[in-house]
Amino acid sequence: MTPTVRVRLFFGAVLAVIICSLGATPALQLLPFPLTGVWPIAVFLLALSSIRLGLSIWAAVLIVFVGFVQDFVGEAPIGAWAFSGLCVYGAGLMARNGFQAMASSIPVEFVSLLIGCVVGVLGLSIAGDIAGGANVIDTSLFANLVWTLGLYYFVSPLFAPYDDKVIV
Amino acid sequence: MARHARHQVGAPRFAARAGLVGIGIALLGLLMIQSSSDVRRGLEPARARMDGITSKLSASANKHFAGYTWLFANKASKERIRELENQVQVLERWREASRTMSQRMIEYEDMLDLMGEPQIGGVTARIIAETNGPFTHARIANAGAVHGVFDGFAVVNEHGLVGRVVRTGHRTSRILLLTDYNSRIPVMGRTSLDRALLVGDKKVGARILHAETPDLIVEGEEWVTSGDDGLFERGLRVGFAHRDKDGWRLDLAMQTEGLDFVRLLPPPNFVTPEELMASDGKALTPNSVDNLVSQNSEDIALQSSGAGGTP
Repeated sequence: MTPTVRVRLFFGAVLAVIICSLGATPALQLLPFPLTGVWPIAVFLLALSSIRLGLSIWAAVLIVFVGFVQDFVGEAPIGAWAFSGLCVYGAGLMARNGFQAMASSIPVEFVSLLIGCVVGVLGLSIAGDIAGGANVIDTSLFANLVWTLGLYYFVSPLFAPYDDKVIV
Repeated sequence: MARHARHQVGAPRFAARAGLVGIGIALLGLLMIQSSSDVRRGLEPARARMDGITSKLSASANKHFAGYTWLFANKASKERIRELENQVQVLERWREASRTMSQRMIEYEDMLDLMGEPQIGGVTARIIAETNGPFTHARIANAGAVHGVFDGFAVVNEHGLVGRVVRTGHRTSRILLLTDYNSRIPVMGRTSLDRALLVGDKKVGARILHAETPDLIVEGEEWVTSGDDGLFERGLRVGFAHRDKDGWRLDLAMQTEGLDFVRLLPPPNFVTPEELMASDGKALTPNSVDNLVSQNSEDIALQSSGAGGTP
């Protein structure tokens, strides 16, 4: 990963922190479109966008950082969102590498996103079980997840560059 | 050359993989040690500081979106805002009258040596950040320890009970909502006088558990706090009973509208006869002149800092 991509990814992490903080704004309920109660999961957006950059410790560290911020803002056990984000990143990478080798007919990016999200939710559930969270997986979490996936294709270039040359 | 080869597509990167797995294991370890309540308590100051940062970020975003909302608000909303502004002006006059009457009543009670109802103080604050994640349902209000708010304060809005304060920072406090899974409030029905435990439920709001006489509960009955835990004042409206396939639940009064301004009320603070004897009667001074004076000075301080308190 080149220094330029690292810097770009860092700004992506800052953007994720801003999205996470904005999600705690009560006035958003008053906006004229239905955002109430549903908000994209910032750490997932960063993790999903980092998948196409390949395996990178820098990306993992930034995901953990954003995850910690989300833990504090969301009153979650410290490390829960960070662990979940890392699960998204790891599982997405494995799926991407695996499916790229299997067949060209499989939409690799979409499948890796989907697998990443499923494993991320499982990671969040495990984190909740370990640290004492209760009823972590519910419909509102899935609503947030759908919102995240829907938004991913629009905002992903802001988090990490779409450039095949940087794939390692 | 070696560095270039390491970055080729498909080349194994054992160090990076080991690093990723190592970070994952470290995070699991971090989560495991948080199963200890001592560790969680140790993290409270850091969380309280972070609440302050979150509230500042949200407050600045709030200002921006308030203008945006005004831009898109329809005619009815604008008229409603004007109407409410007029109401506030009228209520300001009533507040002054209420202060004067309270002062006079205390003087009469002193002259008659009358044991009056203890006046519950409290602080009015505004919700400036919210947390509706999978782990908790909470809000952050812009009043904290400096305004006299402490853990355990009951939180109400104009419709009824909202929750309780679970953590106080310097100028912020985190409110655990009734809908949170960890919320447990003793409640009672106004008609049936049945007592039960209200347990938060993210799906439906809150459920009535361990009711003493569930057969007496009436559909649509108003439920209030019973005050059995000594933390909440008795009689704060909580919601209305409704039966579904899983049993009785409450349609929470606080969910009538979005949360904005809330009032943070201290626990009733009952004085036992033993405590009264030990303090030579000084323990019974919730509505003394000294307290009222200190409350008024708190009001002035709160109004200047953005959160308002009333006697």
